[in-house]
Amino acid sequence: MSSAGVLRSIASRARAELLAELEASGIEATGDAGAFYPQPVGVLVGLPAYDGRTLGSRRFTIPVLVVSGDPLSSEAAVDAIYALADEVAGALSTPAYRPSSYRSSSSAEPLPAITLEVNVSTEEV
Amino acid sequence: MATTDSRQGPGKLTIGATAPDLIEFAAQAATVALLPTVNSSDGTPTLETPQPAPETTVAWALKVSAIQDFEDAAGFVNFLMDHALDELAFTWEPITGGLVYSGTLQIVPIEIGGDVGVQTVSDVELPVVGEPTRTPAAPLAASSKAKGA
Repeated sequence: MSSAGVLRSIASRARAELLAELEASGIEATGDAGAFYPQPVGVLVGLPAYDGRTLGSRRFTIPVLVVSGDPLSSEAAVDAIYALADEVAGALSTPAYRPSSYRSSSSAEPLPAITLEVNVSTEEV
Repeated sequence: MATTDSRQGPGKLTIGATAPDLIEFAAQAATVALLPTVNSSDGTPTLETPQPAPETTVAWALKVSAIQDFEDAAGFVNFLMDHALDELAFTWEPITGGLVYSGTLQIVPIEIGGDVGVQTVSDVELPVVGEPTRTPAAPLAASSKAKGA
């Protein structure tokens, strides 16, 4: 993903800031769905929804998916995806998540996932 | 006639004049409004003026709803707490480069905290000392300064 300095849209900047926040917390994440192969678990940052604005910033909700590359058929796999979801929730100060699924181009079946809806405010420049 | 539909943002909101008694917090402010409170009572009829105009006063306040930033020592929430009852200048530019409202505020604290784990937006009404001033946008700036809004 491009660095925040060359991005033209505020939505892209919000997304880049969120990725940088995850990176700063030591969590590997990507916004590139085409190159996303969770093994055994991974974090994918989705596209921002524009919620509104303040006087000097815009507010977005960005979905963050914690995806398991393996079926959740063992206690260890379930524990691994929830452990990473907790880590992401803590890093992004997000109070809630829910089970979901993720359909990738490389997998015929949807992969099990945990989705977090993250609120991001980005200053207008 | 075309409809004029004025909407805020991006704009600027500043309280204070010089650091450290100065804060720019447009990024936190979800609502900004100058609120007039009108107090009116009937005038006393006299023989000369049996139907007098009401006796009316107008008081102004700057209403702000802001996303709480209490973890920031230099943030809006802590600035209001630290400057409670001070009188500080303010300028509010609803749209950057447009007209500007300004004046003096009496600072009062804002609610701190709220629901756990979610973004908290809190309201505060800061009384305006005297009346706010309205300064037109740059091309008209030299012409006049109007009082009130």
